Amino acid sequence: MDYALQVKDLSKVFGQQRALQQVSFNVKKGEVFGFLGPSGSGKTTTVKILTGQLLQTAGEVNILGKPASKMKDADLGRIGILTDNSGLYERMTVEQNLDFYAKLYNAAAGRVEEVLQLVGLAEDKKKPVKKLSKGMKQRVLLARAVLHKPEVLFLDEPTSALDPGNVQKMHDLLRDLNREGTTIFLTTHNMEEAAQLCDRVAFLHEGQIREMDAPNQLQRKYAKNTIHLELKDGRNETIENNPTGAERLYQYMQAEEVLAVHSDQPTLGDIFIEVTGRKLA
Amino acid sequence: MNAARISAMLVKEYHDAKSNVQVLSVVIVPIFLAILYSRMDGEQSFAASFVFIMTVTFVTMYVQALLLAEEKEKNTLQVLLLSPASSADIMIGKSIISVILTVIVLVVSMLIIDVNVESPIMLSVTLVLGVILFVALGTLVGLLSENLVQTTVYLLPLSFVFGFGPMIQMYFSEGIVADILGYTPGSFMMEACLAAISGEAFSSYREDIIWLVGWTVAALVVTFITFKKKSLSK
Repeated sequence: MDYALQVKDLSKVFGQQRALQQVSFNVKKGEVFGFLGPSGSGKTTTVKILTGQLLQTAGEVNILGKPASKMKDADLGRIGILTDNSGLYERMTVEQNLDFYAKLYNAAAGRVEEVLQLVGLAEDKKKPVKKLSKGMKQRVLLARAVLHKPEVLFLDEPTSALDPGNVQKMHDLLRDLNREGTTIFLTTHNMEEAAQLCDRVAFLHEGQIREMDAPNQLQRKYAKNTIHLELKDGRNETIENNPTGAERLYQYMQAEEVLAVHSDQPTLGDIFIEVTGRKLA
Repeated sequence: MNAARISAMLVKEYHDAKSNVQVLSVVIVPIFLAILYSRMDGEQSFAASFVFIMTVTFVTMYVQALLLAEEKEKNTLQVLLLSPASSADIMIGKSIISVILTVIVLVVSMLIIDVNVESPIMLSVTLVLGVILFVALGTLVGLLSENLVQTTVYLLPLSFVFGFGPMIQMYFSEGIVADILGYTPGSFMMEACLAAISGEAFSSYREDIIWLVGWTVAALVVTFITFKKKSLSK
């Protein structure tokens, strides 16, 4: 199997605090992998270790076949990073910012124009960054992260503080990038976002992975064997998904009382609460 | 080292610095002083030496520290360190803009004061040492500061101790304060600049140059160690 990321028994301790405890997972090339957990669960620490910004206390971390802590400058050219606190040069224009990074990454000629089109900022390229909205700045950051066509893209809460319209645009961009072959490692506490974008997700809680699978597999695994009925008189009823329940449903339908039938498929958020015992915040 | 990346850093610094009010204001101070001194009676060699020290203190050290601290404050330095550019590419690219601004201000100040330099080579040696020393000090301040406000807090006392020694010495001509100030880089620069301008024999200020070299090496070593400790090296 060709892996972009291989993490085995990763642990990180800060003083007395265990930030990560024996975390293990692999991410296949071309996969969108969601790393989900509430604030303080260890998501950002994991990204920092994966990108060589922090050293792990124990365990093995390989990125594109090399230990993360031994990445050379040239290896950094194969990855892209967008964190929620990434900065831009505010006095410079969008184009000047991207031109600068294109030269640092030795990106192909014309790539700046290409990514400006991709993120929908071609019309605004002459604007100083300080005059852009939060959503537009986030798109510049994404443009910067993908300028050099990275093989692996790390996104740490990429849509935090974005309005729903900009979130949708960002998701479309990420899907396009993934279709072109970019492996995406996404950390988020937004379960809906993870369900829409990720091939697989891992639930991180108190520095440990509590569950890991494809979103639809998790939904099957944690599905309750019940069906919700919404009746015309305003009542709601939950019935078992078995012959007794079928008979009950038949009775309601025969009496023309059924307004709607809902499956009881759990959301990723429901599963997270069931697995960890706490809500995402 | 990669020339293309250093050049990209330089172009970026130029675009960023040209609209940076803090940078522009520190560049104006020595030029303003040069204009003031050119209209006053007195020894031109002293006025020129004073303006040179003010230039390396204000322009070189302040610009270097401000640009670096701003990169940290705005979280752009971490992005640079996660790029394929080496630490050397980044630091050299950042320092070149401070050096270019220093050279421009030095030349403009010399033209304004219209000083006659008897030993231009030795004056250049002194100024080059001063520029390297204050680039190192500016980098050190930038590394130690978490934001621009902190940079200003560190720069002020450092300017007085390292740069304005000769000026403060005028008020403490005797005693331990005068003795200590006599060993600061500003004092050695002042002596060397005065001697080079008036064309004195090298032997008369050799000791000042040696002390200046010592200060420069020490500043470079401390800055390098701090750079490593702050985990900014790759």
